[in-house]
Amino acid sequence: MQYRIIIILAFIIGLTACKNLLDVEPVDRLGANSFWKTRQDVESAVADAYGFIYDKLTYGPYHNVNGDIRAGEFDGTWVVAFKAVAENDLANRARVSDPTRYYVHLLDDWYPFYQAIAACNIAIDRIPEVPGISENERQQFLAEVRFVRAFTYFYIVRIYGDVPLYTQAYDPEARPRTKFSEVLKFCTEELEAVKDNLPWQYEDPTNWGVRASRASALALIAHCNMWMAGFDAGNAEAYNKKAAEAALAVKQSGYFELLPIEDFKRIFKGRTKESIFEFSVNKNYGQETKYVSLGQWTTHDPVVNYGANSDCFYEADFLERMYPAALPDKRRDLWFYLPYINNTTAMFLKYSNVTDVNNYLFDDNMIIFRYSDVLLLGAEALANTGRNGEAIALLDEVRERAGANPYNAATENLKDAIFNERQKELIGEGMRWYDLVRTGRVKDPAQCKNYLTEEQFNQGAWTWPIASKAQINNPNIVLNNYWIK
Amino acid sequence: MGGNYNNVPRITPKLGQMPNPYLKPERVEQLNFGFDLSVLKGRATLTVDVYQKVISDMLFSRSLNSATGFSSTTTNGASMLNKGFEVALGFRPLPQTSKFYWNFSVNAAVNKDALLTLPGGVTQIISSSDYGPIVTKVGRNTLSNFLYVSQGVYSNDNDVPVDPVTGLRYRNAAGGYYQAGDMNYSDIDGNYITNSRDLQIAGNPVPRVTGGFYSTMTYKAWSLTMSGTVLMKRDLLNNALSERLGNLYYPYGNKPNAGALTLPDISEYNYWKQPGDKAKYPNPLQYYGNTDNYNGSQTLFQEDGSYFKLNALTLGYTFKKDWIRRARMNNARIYLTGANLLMLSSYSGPNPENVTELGRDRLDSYPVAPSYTFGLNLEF
Repeated sequence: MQYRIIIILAFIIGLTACKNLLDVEPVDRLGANSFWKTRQDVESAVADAYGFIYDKLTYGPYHNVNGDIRAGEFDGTWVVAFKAVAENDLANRARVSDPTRYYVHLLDDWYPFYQAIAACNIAIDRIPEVPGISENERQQFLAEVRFVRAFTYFYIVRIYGDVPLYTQAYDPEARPRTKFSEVLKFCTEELEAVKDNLPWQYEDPTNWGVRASRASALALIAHCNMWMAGFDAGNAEAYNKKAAEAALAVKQSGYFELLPIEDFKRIFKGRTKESIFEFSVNKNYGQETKYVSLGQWTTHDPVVNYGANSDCFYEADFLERMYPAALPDKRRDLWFYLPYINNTTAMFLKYSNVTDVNNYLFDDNMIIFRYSDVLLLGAEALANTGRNGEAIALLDEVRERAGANPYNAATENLKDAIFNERQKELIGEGMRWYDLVRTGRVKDPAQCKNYLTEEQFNQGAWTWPIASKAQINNPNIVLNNYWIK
Repeated sequence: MGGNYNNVPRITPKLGQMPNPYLKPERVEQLNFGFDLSVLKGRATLTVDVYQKVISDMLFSRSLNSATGFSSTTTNGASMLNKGFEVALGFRPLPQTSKFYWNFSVNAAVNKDALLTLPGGVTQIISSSDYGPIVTKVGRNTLSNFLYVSQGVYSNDNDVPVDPVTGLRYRNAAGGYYQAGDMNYSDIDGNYITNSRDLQIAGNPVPRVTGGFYSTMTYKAWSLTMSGTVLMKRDLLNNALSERLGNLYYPYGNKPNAGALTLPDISEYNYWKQPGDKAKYPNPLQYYGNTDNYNGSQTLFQEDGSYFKLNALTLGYTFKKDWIRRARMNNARIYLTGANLLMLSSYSGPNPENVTELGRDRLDSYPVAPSYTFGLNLEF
């Protein structure tokens, strides 16, 4: 009897469920009709927008290769690819791809960046129609995705120069490369339009720096403007002014602070009050990096089990120039082991959140912008527009935290002091090469080991070569001429 | 795809095929003119069909450049024109009263196609196939071989042109300098380097004339049927030959990513042996050079693929009715069929029919064998 009841029950349940059973959704894939329905879908799409760039920037050490190593003062010993980059020998594919496992040679393919842009364009097209989210939240999600898109364009403009500008979802046109000044103009307009929809800071500290805040947008506005200021002398005044305003707005918000320098491991672990924008790498979430963070090549025993020598080191004459032995600087004392020894027994310890000492896995966040960067960029913009007093205040704030001497007008040139302070503060954070390029200091052999002549610079030697496959199905693409020989 | 980012699950759009919400059905406008004739009480028939077909909004998979983020999309952007005629002729030469019955029919179709537009205002698309590129160009037939133009073999070193600006001899993009015994590829763009810009539209791999015939003869209990095909005006690439000749460059059999190599009997070919030779084929012994003499996409290996083929021939004998009844059967017949019996063609390769859709004769294609069947039909 009991059996029969169960059977009947099962039958009834089966009948009622039948209608739903017929439209089973595939588990691994969601059609566009079943996606974009809930708040959770939007959250996943936004996480994916960040994730695309994260995927590319953690596929190889691209952030540091083009940001730091290319300036030439980082000695790669046996790493042929790093040496080739440090000599601007980028057309030499045999060298750039040695060793292959670092994937340095794949930076010439812009497709992954454009996948990110395509995903952002789709999200921007769809988020406005998703039901069940409040208007505020919708605007915030949209602002985040538009920030990511602007950030991606900013990032690739610094690598390749002019790039095609795709801003609509599902755009099949074969677009030519847009002048990078136009692309950056688009970026700043986007950011100005959405920045006020972003919170200054998230309540949940796991999102600090990792999800775009108003400060992230302002920092990006400042960077875009400073890049344009460097290439457009006629309008430099206006760009500097905008950059200074953006940086000052971040400072005046009061949400951000410089952590004690002794806490640097925490700063680079990320998600602190110093974080402005960064990519999350966290072992607790199953993410670690290998062959990505500079720490990979600059540490040895006892940071990782790698014997008494690391693979690479910063050359001593560069460090002596940046951090003279006679002057106090806690950054040198904390971030370097044997800074002036000029061989692989030295260590650069900025990235030393090691999760596996035997397999050399790291989980430092990939820091893109941090508060001290914003302060120094602001100082640079202020100094460029003659507001020296305000500039010095920002400069000294960073110096004070580093335990360095305050600015001395009698012995220092302000603009040089600010530029060098950026190099000292942001060493190994993917800034140096871009700072050199946008200020034109890359043409000065005294400041940059891998310097470019005026002619090389004008031919675009500061760009990275673009793979010719960008021209497939797009006859309007012209590659970077300097690299075609 | 996805995983997590910052502990939030990621859901990634599938960035392969770009959706096209504006997709429409294809439009076909067709003009037909037909003509049927039957004379001599149906002993001779003629059917003629002339047509012109314009396909617009043609569905076309358009490959996209990497900056779109996608790889392809289906569009309506292409259109093409097809025109041609079909003729079918039937005969019964003998009167109905004759004991000998013979029915014979022939048909032929001539088709010409032209590509009118391509999506995105593009004028030509170069796509790769096995053994070299194929070009799809507006204003022409839809598929064309895109080849290097071979102009014979350099007889002497002095025959190789020298760039008056750089003082360098004519060479290829891989840096191989031509010398006596090398193939003389036409330098279309005049830069003294053979590269992809020297490729030319050189032939049409689609047959323009196709036809067939069918014949049945019966005399008393005997019957003979045969059928065949005719194909004309098709350009084939003899890549089986180009690849085998190219294998001579690996005298130790050390060709990368290849197993055992098949080699041609080189004595059958008129190849360059010494300075002054006027040869058809380049020097196969210059295996240390990188002048790529046996490149499979050159006009040297393009040939006319016309053929006449006897597909099947069947001879049958039907046993006499009374004889069958005695054995309590309804019908009994024995027959002998031969398939793939005869092929007439000027093509130098083994079989002009056994090629890919794009008219490439692949070395690894399986040969077509003649077959013979002996059959017995018994019905009870």
